Amino acid sequence: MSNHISKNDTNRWFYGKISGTGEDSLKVFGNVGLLGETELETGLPILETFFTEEELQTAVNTVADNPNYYQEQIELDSEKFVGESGIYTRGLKIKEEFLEE
Amino acid sequence: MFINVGRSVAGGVNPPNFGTATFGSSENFQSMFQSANFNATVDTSNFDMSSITGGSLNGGGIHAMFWLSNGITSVDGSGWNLNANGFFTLKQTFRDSEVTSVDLSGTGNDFSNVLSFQDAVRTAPMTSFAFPSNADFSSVTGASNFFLSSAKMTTADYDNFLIRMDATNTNSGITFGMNTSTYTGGGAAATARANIIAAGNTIVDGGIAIVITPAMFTTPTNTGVTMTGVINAGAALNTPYAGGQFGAFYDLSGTGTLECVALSTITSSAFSVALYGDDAGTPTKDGLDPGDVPYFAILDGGVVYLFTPSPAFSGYVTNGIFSITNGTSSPL
Repeated sequence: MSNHISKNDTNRWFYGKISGTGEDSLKVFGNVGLLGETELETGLPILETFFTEEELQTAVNTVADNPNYYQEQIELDSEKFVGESGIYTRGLKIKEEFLEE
Repeated sequence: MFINVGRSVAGGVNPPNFGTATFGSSENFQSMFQSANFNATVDTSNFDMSSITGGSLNGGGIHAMFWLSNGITSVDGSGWNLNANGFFTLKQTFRDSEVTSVDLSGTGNDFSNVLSFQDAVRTAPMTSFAFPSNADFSSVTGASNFFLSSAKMTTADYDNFLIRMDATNTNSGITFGMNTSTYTGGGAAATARANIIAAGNTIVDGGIAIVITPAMFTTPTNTGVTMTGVINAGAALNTPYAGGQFGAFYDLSGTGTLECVALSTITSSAFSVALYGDDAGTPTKDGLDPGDVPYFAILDGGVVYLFTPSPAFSGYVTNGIFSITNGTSSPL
């Protein structure tokens, strides 16, 4: 049994997790892509979708029990975050050693 | 030895001629062309990567090799004989570059030590990215944001990627960010994709490839249940395609094969079309269910055009009425 976000689902923000709570239960979260163009299917048992990134951020931080978890994962360029954020800069906290030279 | 020509180049210069350069076992291609700004594509087809230096998830191998490079649009790595002496990664290898085509399809390229494809392409305008038909992806643990923005694989390349990933990788918890890449429905790729998901992984992609051929513009089954459409989209449809066929197609069987559920001849003035709904009295789905959104297509002069209506079709409603007053068409 899989969980699915269709191309035409207007809720484009999501998280996927296993049972339980805490950071380790969150396996993936972010944006599924443009409406009408991309879809998501997952074998993770829990998939929750949201209309706005702010709603997703609140939900992710609640699951992680960390009020800054969502921001941290994006700014650390975590593989858990999919797509582009409209709130935070991806990889901001990563030292881009190659680009700085 | 660490090779880097990219960051030593100020910008807009002729690329070096590598000719038949051979790199030995100690070489590391990480960031080789990162931020390079060439005024012509660089020929890497004769590189010998049969014994390059491996690294970790964030370094070594060909990590970030073409990241942010300009002027390199095509990478022929079919003959690289890619083989690292240890784990390596394609993380950020082509990220945000101008590369549109990557050919790694040579069967001498060994991906069995590759850990991750995270951000490998991201926003590069990639349309073609080929792996070998015997690719071994057994070590892969990450592929998040492999493709983003307009980047994607061809359907044939994505089919092969799914089939080889299913055949060689048993990991779970991987997110495959394939953006708008589409796969062939009803076949080995669809089965592979389902297996990958069932193993506890996540896939973001463009879904099943839309395959509508001229032969599929056939009179649909009259189920006795319909929704009526009024098509009055002058310059977008009626005028340029008058005399052609307007159809709607949907995967009724759930196998990835589309079937015709509406068909009308296009006239230069407004015309109507009947979308057939499912007959609840029959055991199989023979028409649309409430909410189903079919693909609309035009057959004109032997060419099939996908038609995206405007306003958007919101879903089938038995005995309902919809209208199309504008839209865009593109050849399939």
